[in-house]
Amino acid sequence: MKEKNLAKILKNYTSGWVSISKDYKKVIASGRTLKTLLQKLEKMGNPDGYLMRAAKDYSGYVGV
Amino acid sequence: MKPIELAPPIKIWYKPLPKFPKTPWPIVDIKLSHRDKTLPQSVLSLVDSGASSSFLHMEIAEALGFDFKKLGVAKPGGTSVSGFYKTWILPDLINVEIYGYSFSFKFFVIDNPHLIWPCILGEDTLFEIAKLDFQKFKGYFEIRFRQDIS
Repeated sequence: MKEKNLAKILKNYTSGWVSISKDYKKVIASGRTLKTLLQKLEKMGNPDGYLMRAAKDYSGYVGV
Repeated sequence: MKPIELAPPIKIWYKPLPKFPKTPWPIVDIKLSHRDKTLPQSVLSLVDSGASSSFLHMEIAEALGFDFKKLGVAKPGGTSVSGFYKTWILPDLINVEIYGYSFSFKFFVIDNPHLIWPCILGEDTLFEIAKLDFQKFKGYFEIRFRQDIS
């Protein structure tokens, strides 16, 4: 298994929620809210993938 | 003290995120469920040894069936580097499946819809059920689940 680079596929998504493909190569769907995204995924037949928040900048996180 | 047997290590690569890709993050994918609700996809979760508790994003908790109107007002939850924060404590345990192992964990929800992580696994969850060996200089970390509880 190799490093999965989320920087490339998430660079155009700065807010809301995204669904990332199982191979980490593309964003399957996105939504302003998780509810919207889950509705889109259901319409797509709930493909395999990962749910993630989209943010402009993850670097400033230093604890909750 | 009797030694605790551990499962073979699972190697997980740190994952670069936008803006500062040279600072990758320790992230695991987990399946979350609560009663009859199961999220259709795994959730990318931060492994945070600096967090004494574990947290779900508000929208994740809602998708798992929790109604914040019924949970009442968020209460002072503690102190973070950004100051005091308020939380709800979810009244039920959440089922978490992680790399084939299943557990039920207590989660807090921070009163902040802008939280950038869907889930944060802190010292009270993942670190209680597995040995974690962070080797950032090699670009990965290893998880070894406890055999006595899993």
